[in-house]
Amino acid sequence: MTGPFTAEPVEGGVRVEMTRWFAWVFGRALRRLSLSYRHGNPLYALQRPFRMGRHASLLQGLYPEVAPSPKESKDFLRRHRDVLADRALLERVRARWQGRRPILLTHAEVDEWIAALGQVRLLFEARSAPKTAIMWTSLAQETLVLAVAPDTFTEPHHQRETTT
Amino acid sequence: MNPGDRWSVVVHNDDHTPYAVAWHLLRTIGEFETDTARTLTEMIHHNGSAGFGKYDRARAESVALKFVRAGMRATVQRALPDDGPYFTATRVGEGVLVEVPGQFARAWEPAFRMLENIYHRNVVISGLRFPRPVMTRRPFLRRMFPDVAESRWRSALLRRRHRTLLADRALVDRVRRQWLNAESLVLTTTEAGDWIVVIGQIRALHLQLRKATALQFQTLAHVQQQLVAAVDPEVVAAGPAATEQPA
Repeated sequence: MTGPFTAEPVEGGVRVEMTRWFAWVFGRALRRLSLSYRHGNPLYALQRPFRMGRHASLLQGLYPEVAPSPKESKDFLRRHRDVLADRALLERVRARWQGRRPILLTHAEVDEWIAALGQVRLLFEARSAPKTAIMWTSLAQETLVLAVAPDTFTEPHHQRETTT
Repeated sequence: MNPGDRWSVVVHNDDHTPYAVAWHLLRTIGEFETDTARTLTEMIHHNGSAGFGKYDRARAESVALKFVRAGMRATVQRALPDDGPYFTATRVGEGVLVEVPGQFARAWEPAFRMLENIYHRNVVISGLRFPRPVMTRRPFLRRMFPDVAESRWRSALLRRRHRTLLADRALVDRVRRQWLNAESLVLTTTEAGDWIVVIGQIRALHLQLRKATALQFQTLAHVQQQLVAAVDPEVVAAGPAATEQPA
């Protein structure tokens, strides 16, 4: 294994490997996010002014601008709260993340992992986590995409670009 | 809200989503072909956002939701009407034929008027982005043209020296008059150059406005690109892949 998180294409899916440290850190983050999606569950230590947020304000912290105006953003979050705060998705990903090795994912599961890692990244951003944590999350997402489409990004500047 | 309205999804650039991930999401969620997804990703990367699709409201929200759920910023915007291109510019002999439908021209007229008003001395400008919703012309020009020299001090001097040129009301007024009567109008290449400049200034103005939307930026960029392609087709052909007409 060349890094803390690797993914390579195999027959019908993607084989994922990660170090124990990586599995522990991100498993914990997934668990924390999953717990915070429980309605009414407080989430501590968010960046000010959201010192302690509940379900609704957590979503506002994670997804501050999902529409052109703040009011439309709030309406959007209210309408789609269940899809955005989807605990089942996170629990599915966490079960595989911390489950038996080696991890073999189907392409549908890879898409779920990419979505879950995206949410973890937003949580890290909302909580002002160290930049390295955010970077590793982006890198894990990218590694999964490169395993799904191995021949698409041959130019090195596309593979390692940190922004869209 | 009109039930017949069509909506577009606009995906925005951010500091953390890798290029490959944006491409993958556009392919899987937006259901684009590999090359189209790549073009859109380039647009997001270079222009700050890219809009696509003409859906009903529910479908547009569901597509945007999938992007948001994967950690990207996506919004829905009302799409432009479906009845043909809203702005075209083509080279004809030594001039440029521009076709601006009346409805589209009238919709953008307030932007020209606002720019013209702002170029008045001592005018007060409101409705701006945080942290200053109101400001006078001088700091506003500083924000519209922030880095015109290698230092802030030299930038200020340059703005002061060329204030009349930067805030040229006559130019804006001339272009506005032509714009309103351009259902089918042949411009000289110099006049087309003036249009490119004024549209660029309107874009800079919108960057400061609180209510400006990504779709407006894309529309302005599209108009500029059409004009540049008509004035100098070789430059556009040699440059990066042409952006699509925003949805």
